[in-house]
Amino acid sequence: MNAPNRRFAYEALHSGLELELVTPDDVIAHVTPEVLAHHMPIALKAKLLQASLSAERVTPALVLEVVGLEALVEHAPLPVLWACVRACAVRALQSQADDALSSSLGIAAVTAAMAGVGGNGAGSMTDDLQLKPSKTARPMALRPGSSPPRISTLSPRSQVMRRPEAPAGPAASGAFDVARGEEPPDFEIVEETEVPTRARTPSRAGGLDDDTRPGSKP
Amino acid sequence: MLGVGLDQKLLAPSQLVVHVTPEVLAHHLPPDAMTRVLASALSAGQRGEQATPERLFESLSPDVLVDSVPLEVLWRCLDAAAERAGIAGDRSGEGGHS
Repeated sequence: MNAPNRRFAYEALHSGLELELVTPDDVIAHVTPEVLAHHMPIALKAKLLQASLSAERVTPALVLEVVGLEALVEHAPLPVLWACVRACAVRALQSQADDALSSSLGIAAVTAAMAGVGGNGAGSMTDDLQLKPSKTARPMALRPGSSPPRISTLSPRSQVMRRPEAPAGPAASGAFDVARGEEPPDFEIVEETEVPTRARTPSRAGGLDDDTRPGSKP
Repeated sequence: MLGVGLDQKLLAPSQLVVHVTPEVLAHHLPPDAMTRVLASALSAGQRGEQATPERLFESLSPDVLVDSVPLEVLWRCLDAAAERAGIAGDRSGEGGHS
């Protein structure tokens, strides 16, 4: 076997068979009787027929044993051989992925069992970990203490500026007014902060502004 | 003639294979016929059955044999069968007639 391609295919199949990633059934599934009939030399076909008649059963293992991997690789078309290698590699990778999945499912099952048995808080903790999505993954409306989003035609800042008790001063005019006037009047979804609305009113009245806009503040 | 010999049990597949050996088949069978032979042997093996001369010649019709196997080989089969059946008569007498 001089051709490097054939040597490569031989090594792939040889290793695969040794590691039991490739079985004789796999080989004969690709190197079919048709391939054997078309590509094997006469002497090998005669040997195979003779062995077939002598054997108790003709199996892929027998065919592979009689023909020999080296002769098989020597004479079978390379694409056929490589299709066999590829199919076995794909299957091995798939089974590896399945094993990983089933082991992770096993961990989940153990965790679930712990949650069912545990009475010291570990159960509820694992329950949280397993069943609840992360806080950032949950919608704001579903977070504890949050209220459903409301739709307003005005931004909260606009509401603040319209309060009649707001003292007239430099903060209520000038740059802020200009900035406010530039705010688009479109509808927007406003998310409530966790500070209750009633608690905010006195702080505003006391001069503490929750305005975080850049620029000068009163 | 070969078909009749097989049908009339003058010639059994086990006797046929004495002359139409695996080597002869390997040399002369076309690939599609060889494919059928090998596939039949493998499928029998899958069912746990042996690949017998009967099974071998089930997948090879007399027509295929006549078309591919050298006629002198087939003739030896038929001649031997005739001898076994007592049809051929006394060969030693043949020489005397000639």
